[in-house]
Amino acid sequence: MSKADMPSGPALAESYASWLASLALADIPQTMRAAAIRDLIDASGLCVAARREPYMAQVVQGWDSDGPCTVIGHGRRLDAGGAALALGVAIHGEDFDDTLEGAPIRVGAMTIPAALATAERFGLSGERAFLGVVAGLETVCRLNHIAPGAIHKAGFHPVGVIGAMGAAAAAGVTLGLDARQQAMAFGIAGSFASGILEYLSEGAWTKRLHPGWAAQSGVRAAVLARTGFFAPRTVFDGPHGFFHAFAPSATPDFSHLRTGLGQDWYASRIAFKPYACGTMIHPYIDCMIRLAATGLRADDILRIRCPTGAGLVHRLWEPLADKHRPPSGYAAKFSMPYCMAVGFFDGDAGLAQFSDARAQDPQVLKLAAKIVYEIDPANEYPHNYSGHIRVETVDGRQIALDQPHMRGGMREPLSDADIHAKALANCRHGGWNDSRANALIGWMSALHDHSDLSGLAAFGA
Amino acid sequence: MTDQPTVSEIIADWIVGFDPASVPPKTLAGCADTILDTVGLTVAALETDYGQSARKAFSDPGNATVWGLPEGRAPEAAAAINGTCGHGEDYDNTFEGCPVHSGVVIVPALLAATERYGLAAADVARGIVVGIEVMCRLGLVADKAVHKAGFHPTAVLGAMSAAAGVSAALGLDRIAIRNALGVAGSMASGIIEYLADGTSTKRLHAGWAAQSGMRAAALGAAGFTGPATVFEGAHGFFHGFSSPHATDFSPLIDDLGTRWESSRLAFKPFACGTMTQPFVDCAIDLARRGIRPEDVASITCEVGEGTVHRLWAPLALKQTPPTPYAAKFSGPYCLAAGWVFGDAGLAQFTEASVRDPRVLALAGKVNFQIDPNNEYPANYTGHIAATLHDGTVVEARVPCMRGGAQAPLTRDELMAKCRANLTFAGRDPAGADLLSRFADDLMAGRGTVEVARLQLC
Repeated sequence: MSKADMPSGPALAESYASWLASLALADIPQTMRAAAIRDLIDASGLCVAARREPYMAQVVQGWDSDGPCTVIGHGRRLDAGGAALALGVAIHGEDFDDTLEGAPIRVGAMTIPAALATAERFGLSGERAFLGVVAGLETVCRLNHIAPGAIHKAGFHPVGVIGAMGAAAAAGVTLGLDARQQAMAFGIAGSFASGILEYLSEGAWTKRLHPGWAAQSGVRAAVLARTGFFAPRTVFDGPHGFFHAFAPSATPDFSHLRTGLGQDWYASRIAFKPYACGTMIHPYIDCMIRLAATGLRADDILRIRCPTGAGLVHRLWEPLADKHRPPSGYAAKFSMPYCMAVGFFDGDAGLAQFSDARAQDPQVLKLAAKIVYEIDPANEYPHNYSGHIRVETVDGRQIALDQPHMRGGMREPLSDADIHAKALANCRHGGWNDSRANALIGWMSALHDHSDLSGLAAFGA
Repeated sequence: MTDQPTVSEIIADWIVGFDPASVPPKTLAGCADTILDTVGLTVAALETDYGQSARKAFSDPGNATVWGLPEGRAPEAAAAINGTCGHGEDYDNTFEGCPVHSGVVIVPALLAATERYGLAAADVARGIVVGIEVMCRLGLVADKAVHKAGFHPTAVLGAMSAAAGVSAALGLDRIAIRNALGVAGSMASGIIEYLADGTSTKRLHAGWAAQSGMRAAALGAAGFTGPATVFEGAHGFFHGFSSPHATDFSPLIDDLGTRWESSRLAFKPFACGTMTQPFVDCAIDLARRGIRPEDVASITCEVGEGTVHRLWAPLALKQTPPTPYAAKFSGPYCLAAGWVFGDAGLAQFTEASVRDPRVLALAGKVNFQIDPNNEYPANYTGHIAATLHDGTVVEARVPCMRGGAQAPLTRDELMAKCRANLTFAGRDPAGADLLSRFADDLMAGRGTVEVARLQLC
């Protein structure tokens, strides 16, 4: 490191923070507002869907401090850190939350909780919370374009590490930090950012923890920054900074934090998932549902080869023997063969398809074992998620089906009605009736109009 | 997956079957010294700017003790404040082999856990021994590779060790401990960009690790699952946090219960980076030999390669550190301060000291050269070769760090250090006696632990 390596003039965190600090509701175009509202609806439905899961009881009851903040779907009120953690775990818990094409990452699970918990804790307006949500979503999307793939390659979960930064933006803008404080919030969040990938081995629950931990880290970073705590302004572009540590193989493209601010809204392109499993699996499930619609029976299938992008293999295909027999319903969400097989039988891959019991179904596992992959160097992943199956039948026929893109993404977005229906179904899964679910959806849709967040308390328990 | 126990299961088995009789007196004494040293340092830093920031921000109300203050906090918030303040001046304990600061992570975590769960002294003592031992051993696995990957060893290793220590104090079973460690792997954090400008995030790392470890233990106890292969797995802790990837776990898991790394903790005589300390001793030695700073034309220090990016480069910045905190990690400043002031305690790292023209003039004469045979990080040595204006070359060498295993500080010396720290902060130096008794009673495992007594010191 030499002085020549240090940025001259404002560091990246400072220039970006200046933009965030100036953000006003009037500057947010309709497309971005609509995307944020869709994400708020989707996320809140997911909070209800997960409310009876054991990990939620552990997170909500295992947290130490009571406080003024609502955890949607739970009676216990927690301090801001606890509410941010619990909401983040709930939104991402069933892997049914939003994503971003081109640079895959979850967006709302780290940032929406940070904005809501901060606003409720400090008695701020719905408009501040909404601006915080927009800032958080946009920050995650932009940061994740800077070194695509390299964070994962280094052994870290982008949801955890980018998420802490996004949550610092969400909480910071909600609080109305000035530009210097917001830059310090990023500097602090760089030291809180965490999340390794070892959950991939056995389906442990730490992946679920990461967005919540990121959300509470972001809240704490923003609150700490407001006191004047001194943190490195060079956190993004410095020689020992965030990208040096978490993406050592990359040459970071920092233009994504510099250009088009307020003009090009990356977060307006957030994608929503029709299925409760890994995003890149969805187009393959669509292929299998179409295969079942041809009338072919599972016993007629000899083998299914799936051309696939190389980047998917270590997460979704390997080790293949484990992916053929996922050890839990949760691990099944990251098994391409299982998801494809269960989609073939059930015509869906919603929350019901990922119970521990369903993941042991011999019929499903028998079909999953026939599914293998081959790397297709021409596959467009991660720029586009496509699905491809090459079926050989027992009687020697060949059937090829392809799904050219993910439904729910840019090329075929889910409609507002689809999002509303998904949230309703998720609330039902969590044991809520439709009138309560519709009240929650209505409250979230109007977040920016609420004078404060006191109405959120109605959605505890 | 094989049926062989994983690394975290081996640690869990050791903790579950922990035999207090196996702990050597030197470890118990080192842990008691750590408590004394850590608490004194925390109290000394409460009124600093970063101390006040941390106190304001970690505001969750509760009855746990911020050492030296009457008002309480939620236990995790107290741990975060105590750890941040304890590490604030970089004057806390360390470990030769890999410079990990175990005291400022483990003591805040365990004393806050004591207040959260109402633990008995014997349980807390076990937790402190386990936490410190695991942290030293993790340091040996990490060697230089964690820092090289861009992470702060005290931060990331600290979260794991605090989880182990709190789990041990709580008497968790094997699966819960394994899960606590697995969860801690996802909470571990701390990048080293503070090196650029001497900002306060390094300080924060100890406190953040302490509260992360507490939360990981609570989640493990509640049944939340974490990966069993958190340390050694293909996507595990050392895959993420070390470069090149550390793969030899024998220093961590071999001879548990018989080899005690915690019996050779190091305590700092000076309030600056560990590896700078032998250089300060060299400078004090030369000053005592009557060599005046103004007689010096140039200085060359032989240094270990691994210390260069932390302490010596970029040289121009290190010769004029922008803040008192940055000065602690400047080889040129620390040795110049020792030479000019005859000491390098808290008083030598103030805004006034780092602008002292005599010190800066001397620091500006310092250069370094890498000695490929330097033993760092296995041993910390010091060397100064000063060329005087008349052409004479005078030299001083220190073969090891004072306060380390080869030249340990005595309890009396640590008491003197604690008194000086309390005095610097405007506190009654007699608080050191209270602290010393508190630490010895705790590590002897007698009765309950009244952490609230530390409000008054």
